[in-house]
Amino acid sequence: MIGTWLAAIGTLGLMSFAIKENPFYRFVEHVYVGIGAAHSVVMGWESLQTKAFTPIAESGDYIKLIPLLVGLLLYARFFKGKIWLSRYPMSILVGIGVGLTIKGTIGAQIVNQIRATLVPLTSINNIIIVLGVLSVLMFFYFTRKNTNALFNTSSRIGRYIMMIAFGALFGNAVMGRMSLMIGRVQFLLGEWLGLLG
Amino acid sequence: MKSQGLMIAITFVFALIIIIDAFFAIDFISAASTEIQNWGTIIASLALALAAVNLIRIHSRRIRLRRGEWYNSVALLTVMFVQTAIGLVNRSTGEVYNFGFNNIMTPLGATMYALLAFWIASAAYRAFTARSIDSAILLVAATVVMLGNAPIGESIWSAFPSIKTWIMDVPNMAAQRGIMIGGGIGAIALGLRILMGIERGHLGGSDE
Repeated sequence: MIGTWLAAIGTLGLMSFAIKENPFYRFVEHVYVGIGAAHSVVMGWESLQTKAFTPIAESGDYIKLIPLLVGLLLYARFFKGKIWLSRYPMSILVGIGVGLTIKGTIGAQIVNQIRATLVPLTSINNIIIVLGVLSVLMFFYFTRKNTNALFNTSSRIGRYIMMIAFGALFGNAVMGRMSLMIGRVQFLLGEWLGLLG
Repeated sequence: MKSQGLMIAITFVFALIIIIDAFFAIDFISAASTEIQNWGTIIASLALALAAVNLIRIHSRRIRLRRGEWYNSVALLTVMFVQTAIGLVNRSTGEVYNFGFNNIMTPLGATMYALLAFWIASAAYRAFTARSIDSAILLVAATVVMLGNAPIGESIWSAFPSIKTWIMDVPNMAAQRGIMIGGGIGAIALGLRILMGIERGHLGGSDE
C-alpha cells in the first residue's frame, strides 16, 4: 500500500514535466538520482565482495589486492596535484576495454555479419540484403572523394536503405515508449486508483 | 611517475593479453586474460562509487551554501545514504532494499523512459515532413512500422504487420549489417589508435 502510493506520487511528479518543469518534478528527479546512485554503490560493493574480498579472505588470493589498490587511485582526482595518479586505473580500464572491443568486434560485428550476408542470390529478399549491405558500406567510404557515377549511385542507394532502417528504428522506439507510457497509466488507474476492472 | 609513456604501455599490455587470448590457445595467456578481466571488474566497481562521491561533494556544497533548491539536494543525499546503508546491511536481495528498488527506482525509471514518448512525438512532428526523398522514405518506413506494431494498423489494412515484418527483416537488416560492419571497423581503428598512443584523451590529452 505505502509502496504503491510512493510509486504513484513519484510517477505523477515525473509526468508533471509534460506540462512544464516544476518544483515537484525536480524533487522527484533528485530522489530518483539519489536512489539510482545508491543502487550503483550497492551493486559495486557486492561485485567487490564476489570478485575481491571473498577470494582474498577464503582462498588467500592476495593478487586481488593489486586491482583494489589501483582502483582506489581513481579517488586521487579529488586531491589537487595528484590527479595524474587516477590515470593509471583509467589506462588499465581502457586497455581491457580496447582488448575486449577488438576481440568482440572482429567476431560478432565483422566476421559473423559478413558470413550472414553471404547468402545465395536466389530470392529477391536475398538480393536486396546483399546489395543493401554493399551499398551501405559504399556510403561509409570516406577515404577519398569519388567521382565514379556507379559508386555514387550505390552510395545514394545505401543512404536510402539506411533511411528505411532509421525510420523502422524510430517507429519501434515510439511504440516502445508508448507501451511504457500505457504501463504507467495502467498502474495509476488500476493498481493505485483501482479504476480498471 | 607522471609518464604518459608508462600509462600507454600499461594500456597496450592489458589489451594485448586479451587480444592474444582471443586468437591463440595459450594456457598462461588465457589465465592472465581471465585474471585481468576480473581486475577490470574490481576497478570498475570502485569507479561506480566514484560517481556517488562526486554527487556527495556537489550536493553537500550546495546545501552548505544554501544555493538554489538546496532542499532537493537534502532529499537526494538522504535517499542515497538510507538506501545505500540498507543495501550494505540487508544486501540487494533483501526485502527492505527491494521495497525501495521496486517502489521508487523501477517505477521512476519506467516513467522517465515513458516521458520520452512526448518528446519523441514532438520530434516526429518535426521530422515527419516529406521535404526530401530521404525524409519521405523515413516517414513511410516509420509509419508502416508503427501501424504494423499497433492493433489499429491491422484493423485499417491487414497487410501492415507483414509489410512491417518485411521492412524489419530485409532492408532494416541490410542497413544494420552495413552499419555494424562499418562501426566495427571504426571501433578496431580507434582501438589501434589508443594502443599506439595516438588517441590519449583518457590520459588527460596529448599536451600534458
